Amino acid sequence: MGEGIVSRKLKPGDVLAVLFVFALAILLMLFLPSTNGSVVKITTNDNVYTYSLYEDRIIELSENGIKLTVVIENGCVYVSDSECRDGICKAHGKIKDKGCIVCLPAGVVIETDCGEVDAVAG
Amino acid sequence: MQDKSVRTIALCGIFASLSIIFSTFEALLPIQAFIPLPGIKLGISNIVVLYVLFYMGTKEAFFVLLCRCVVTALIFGSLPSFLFSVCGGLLSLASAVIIKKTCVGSLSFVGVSIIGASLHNTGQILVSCFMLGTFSVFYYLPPLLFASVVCGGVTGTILCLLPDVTKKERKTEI
Repeated sequence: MGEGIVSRKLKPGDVLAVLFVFALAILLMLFLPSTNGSVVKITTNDNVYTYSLYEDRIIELSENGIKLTVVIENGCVYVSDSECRDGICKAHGKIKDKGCIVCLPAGVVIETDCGEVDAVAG
Repeated sequence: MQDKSVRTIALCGIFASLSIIFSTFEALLPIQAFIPLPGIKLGISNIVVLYVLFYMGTKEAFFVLLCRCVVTALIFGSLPSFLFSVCGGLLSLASAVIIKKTCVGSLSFVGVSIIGASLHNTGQILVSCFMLGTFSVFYYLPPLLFASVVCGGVTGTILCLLPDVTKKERKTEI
């Protein structure tokens, strides 16, 4: 074959390539801290707020004339109080690693982690 | 010489359209049933790009890649998806060009595909990191890298099986 043509048969370099990618993946998994990465993303009508899932806090929101109280506590997020008549967001309970609470009347979406992944998949 | 350039242009057009068809087709493949990651793709349109790179040339491969990115973005996508595919595609093509120039003898198509697939994913993660302004997207990279070994292995095996049709002289009988 001419120059610049890659072999059709497996070569030792292929094994190296696989090992390199695996090593990179494992290194990344080790070096990325597993706790700090968990974020709470709160999307309102015109803003996106990001908080750490591991810092307890209470967030007061007022969207579309509806007051919402979002609580981040012990690595969980939940809506503790809402003026919304449906109360679906309150009924949703606590979300942890991957989850979404949606309050349609207020136009608020509370996500843990999953938001980034969806954006990447776009 | 004239004849060769006409031939090259025609082949580039054919491969570009083939690449677009493949990227349309792979959107229909239920690959997520096997690898349950959001947005995962097998990358069969990259088979065409690598094929063109190794059997035709670097310029032709860049042409096919850019054609595919622009046309698929016009048909399906938006500006973000265009940026994702261009950055991922350019990074993986650049890696393949470097391999072609430096250490072509020590790798097969499988290795080239795996490196290309993992860099494709890395490029997309980098773009999303810039666009979303958060480093937390890197948490998605390790699973993507594992997936790219699988997908790159599949596309590389297909590349190994494909014959070189670009050099074949056909007799034209009219």
